[in-house]
Amino acid sequence: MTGLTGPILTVEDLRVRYGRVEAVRGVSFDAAAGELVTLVGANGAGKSSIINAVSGLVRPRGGRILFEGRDITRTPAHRLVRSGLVQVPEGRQILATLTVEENLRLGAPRRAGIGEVYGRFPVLAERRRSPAGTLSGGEQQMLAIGRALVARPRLILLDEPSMGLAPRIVDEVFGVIGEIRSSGTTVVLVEQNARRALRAADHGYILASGEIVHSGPAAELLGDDRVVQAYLGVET
Amino acid sequence: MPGDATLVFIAISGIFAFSFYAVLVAGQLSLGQAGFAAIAAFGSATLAPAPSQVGDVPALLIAVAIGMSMGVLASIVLGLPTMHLRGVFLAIATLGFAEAVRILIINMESLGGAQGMPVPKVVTPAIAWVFLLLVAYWFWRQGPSRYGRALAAIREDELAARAMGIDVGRHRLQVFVTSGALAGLYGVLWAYFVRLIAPEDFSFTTAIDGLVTAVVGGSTLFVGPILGSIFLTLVPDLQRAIGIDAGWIRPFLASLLLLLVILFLPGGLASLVPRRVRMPAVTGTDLGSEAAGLETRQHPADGEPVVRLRGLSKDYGGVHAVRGVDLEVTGGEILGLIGPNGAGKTTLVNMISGLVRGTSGTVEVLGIRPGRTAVHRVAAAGVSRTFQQSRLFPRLSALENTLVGSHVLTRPTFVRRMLWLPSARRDEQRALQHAARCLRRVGLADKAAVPAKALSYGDQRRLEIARALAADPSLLILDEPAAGMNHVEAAGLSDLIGALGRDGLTILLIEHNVAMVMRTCSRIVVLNFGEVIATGSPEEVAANSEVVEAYLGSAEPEGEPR
Amino acid sequence: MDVQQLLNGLFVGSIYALFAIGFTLVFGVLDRLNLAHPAVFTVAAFVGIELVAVGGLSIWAALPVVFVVGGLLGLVIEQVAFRPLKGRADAHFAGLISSIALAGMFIALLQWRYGPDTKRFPAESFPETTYKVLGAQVTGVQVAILLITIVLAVGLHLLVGRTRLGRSMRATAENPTAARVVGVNVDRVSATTLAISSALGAVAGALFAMNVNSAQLGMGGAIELKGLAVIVVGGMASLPGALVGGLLLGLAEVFTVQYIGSSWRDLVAFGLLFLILVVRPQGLFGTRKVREV
Repeated sequence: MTGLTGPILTVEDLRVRYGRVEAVRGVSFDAAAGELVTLVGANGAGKSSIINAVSGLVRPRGGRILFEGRDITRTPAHRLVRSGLVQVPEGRQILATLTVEENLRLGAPRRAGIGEVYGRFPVLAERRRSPAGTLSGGEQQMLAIGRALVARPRLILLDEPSMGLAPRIVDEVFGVIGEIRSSGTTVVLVEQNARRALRAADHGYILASGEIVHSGPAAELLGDDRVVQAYLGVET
Repeated sequence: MPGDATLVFIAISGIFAFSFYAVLVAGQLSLGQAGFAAIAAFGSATLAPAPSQVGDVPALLIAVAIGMSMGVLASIVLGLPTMHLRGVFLAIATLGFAEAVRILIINMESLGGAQGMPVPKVVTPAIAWVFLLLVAYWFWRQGPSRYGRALAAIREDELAARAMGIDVGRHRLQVFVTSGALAGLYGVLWAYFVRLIAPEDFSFTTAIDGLVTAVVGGSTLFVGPILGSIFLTLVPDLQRAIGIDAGWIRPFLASLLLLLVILFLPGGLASLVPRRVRMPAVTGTDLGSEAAGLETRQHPADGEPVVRLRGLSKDYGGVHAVRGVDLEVTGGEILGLIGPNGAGKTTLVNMISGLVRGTSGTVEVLGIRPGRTAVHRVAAAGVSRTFQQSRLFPRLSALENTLVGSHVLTRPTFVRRMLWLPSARRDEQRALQHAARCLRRVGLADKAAVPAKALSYGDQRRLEIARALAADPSLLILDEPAAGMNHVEAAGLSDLIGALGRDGLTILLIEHNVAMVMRTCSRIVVLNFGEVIATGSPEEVAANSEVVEAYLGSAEPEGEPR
Repeated sequence: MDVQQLLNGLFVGSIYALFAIGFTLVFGVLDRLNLAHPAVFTVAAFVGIELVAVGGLSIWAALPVVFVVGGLLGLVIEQVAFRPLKGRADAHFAGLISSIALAGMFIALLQWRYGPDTKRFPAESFPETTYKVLGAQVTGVQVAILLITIVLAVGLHLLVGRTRLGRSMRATAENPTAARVVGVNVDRVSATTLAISSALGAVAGALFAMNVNSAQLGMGGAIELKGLAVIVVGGMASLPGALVGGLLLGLAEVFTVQYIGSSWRDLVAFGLLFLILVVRPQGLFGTRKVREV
């Protein structure tokens, strides 16, 4: 089911600027259907900008983004969600004043998807009538992921899903990411927690200062000292 | 040629527009001016002696004095309880005040009720224009003074202004009172020109007209209100000249014009006036002018405590951003603060600079207690900072940004500028040279005249440092100054920070670029989940497995990969 | 105390409430103060009279038309006064000014079409029936004003609370970026919100004209200030607050007229406004927002 159909997502020479700040300077990568691809790098390397450009939240200054062969470079976010490309944003961005169920229904074209999400995250089903702001950090992250899954996406972009979470919860989150991937959904994962991300991924791209400095099969990168260097700038 | 009446109307609606300009330059929207004007008009008409007794001009001058004082008093009375309001809330509150004044006057039989009261006509075009020019002179001199720059800084970014040592509350009240005085002046001139004043003259529509005039004219240059007033007063004349005099045309055109200006020319007509770019008049060499420098602060000696944190914690709702941090920074030290995203670094420095108050524990910086002390006082004590998300004053030039930075070192110049005292000019020269030196220090001397928003990202970060340096701080806090810089720029920045440290400055550096922190700092503190997980020299910290894990994460719950 | 006065206060208050609900809806969802709202109120009053006097509609048939006209004006306001400011740093201030400008143009156009004089409904427009309620005389129009306000307020409450559009509106109100992430078309939500708000303001205008049987160019200015007072008193962005605040103001005004004097009526709104701003700036139903540095 993978490989033969070509990449589900192709990013070519992507450039993103905020005013005079060039956050992404010509980045190219792709993800094959069913693959888990990770972009890792230190803060400010441009990871979130890439995710936001792909999901239609910011408009790129240059380059091309193809989703299932269609050019989506200038497609607004709300259309992409309907066509099967969703984002789980950095910092979760759940809507605190809406209930858990309302958060899920925002993302759902059909109600059927909500049942599936409750099946996967029983804790959300228990708290369905509570305002989402009352959930714990880990539960909020599950809600953010669940909210993306109700749309039954073919490509899901995860931006720093482990940020600010205790190690035990990070394990849970990575468990869920693994399940999503094995259900056939393509995952693009952006992480500062590079080792965990590379461990989970098929393919990895190392970013620094808005450029891809290194890429390869995730297992190879995991043992590569240059990854550590990209973060700490020291030999370890 | 416009008639006498037109000339007078241009002048007095210009003055009214200045009463809006006075607050707009500081970014405040207050709409109580019609109320101040009404109080002044009815008050002066009641209290001032009749022109038949003391002569026209003396009677008017007494009336103006009464009216302006009443405007000042009314604006203090309204300002004190409403100064904590921001944005539209201030606008609504002041609007409500004006309307309440109008209704009160309607109900006061002694003032003629809704019919109003007669006032002798005294104001001539010459008188009206003299007053207009005096007001314009005031704002001309105010603009480039220390006070004027502080107001512009508040308009551009209130929080950054506060962090530069500007007492925002006092300045806001001052512009509010200035606005009240000018509205009072307008009320008196109006009363002594139109012969009969009625409460309806000071309605909501009047306030909107004044605001429209100020906005159409532009609120960034002192000629704005005059341009706006000329333009809007002449619309009916133009209309007559081309032979359309339907009553709806003028309001329609005025509104259309307002819409076009706000959508396409946000700076108003005045933004069409070419502004001469004032370059810093730096005379003499660097070292030569050092003697006349502004640096007078006594910095803590090496090893003396500058920052002392004891059990400092901060909770947001249920989230513990910072927990139980003990930390000491001593004079002359360059301390690095690192940690992954969300580790609590920025919260910690916000508590040190007084922007955020800790939930428990104590902060002591340079002998004061940030969090319990107003932010501008923390700045005055010698704490200066940059922000993670650059918070420059975007429409001010690099030089002006730096001049605002020296606010805590300089003396007020506005009143002396109005009197053309030579000492004001000397002070200004010193401030300019000081600012120019700070710009040169970070390598921005040739960009002094460029507005901050037009600078490249790296230059913006450098300008933030220059602005912070201009306060001659004892403690300099740099919050991710290298974010978004390339390697070359980051290396240059590291050299600069090192040089500042050699000058005896105490520096707290928060950075994600760990390599740069390692190169720059003598001691490093690592935060994770709000707690200090490691402290030591760069080598010690780099070798600490807990630190490496905090940054890269462990690959598996049970341990290291490979 | 007089039942008649109490009811009169309720009728006027429900018009204030309807007007204020539209006002506060835009503030709550879009964080903008739409100062063209009173102009829509005024336009609707004139259009309502024209529909009855010239178009020959009954006053009941005119109301849905006015509702639609208001909605269309809302779309114009969104497109002309707010949409072009998207992304501008001074969008708050500029939005106030651009909506004031658009309001001025609406009123000038009314002046062109209808002249400066007061307009009234034709004499035979109103039903003759009156009702006795607890010994007080109530006209059919007054009953209708109260019922229509209740129906619209409840309808809006259900719309915001129960529907997909309502969820999108609340999501946009809380965090526009997060709303976009989950697929909300924020531009369309903005336009719809302004259309609904203006439609409510328009119905309020037509009902007001029916209640006093007159429409004047200045009627918007008078209710604008009261509407602002109501939404501050109720709590900016609070729909129940606007409803309660509107009714409260209507009642307070009637009692002021009764016990103090009619010329003091208009001062009540500002007294309440000041009291609230100084004592409880978040309003009766508002929550205090905590902002981070």
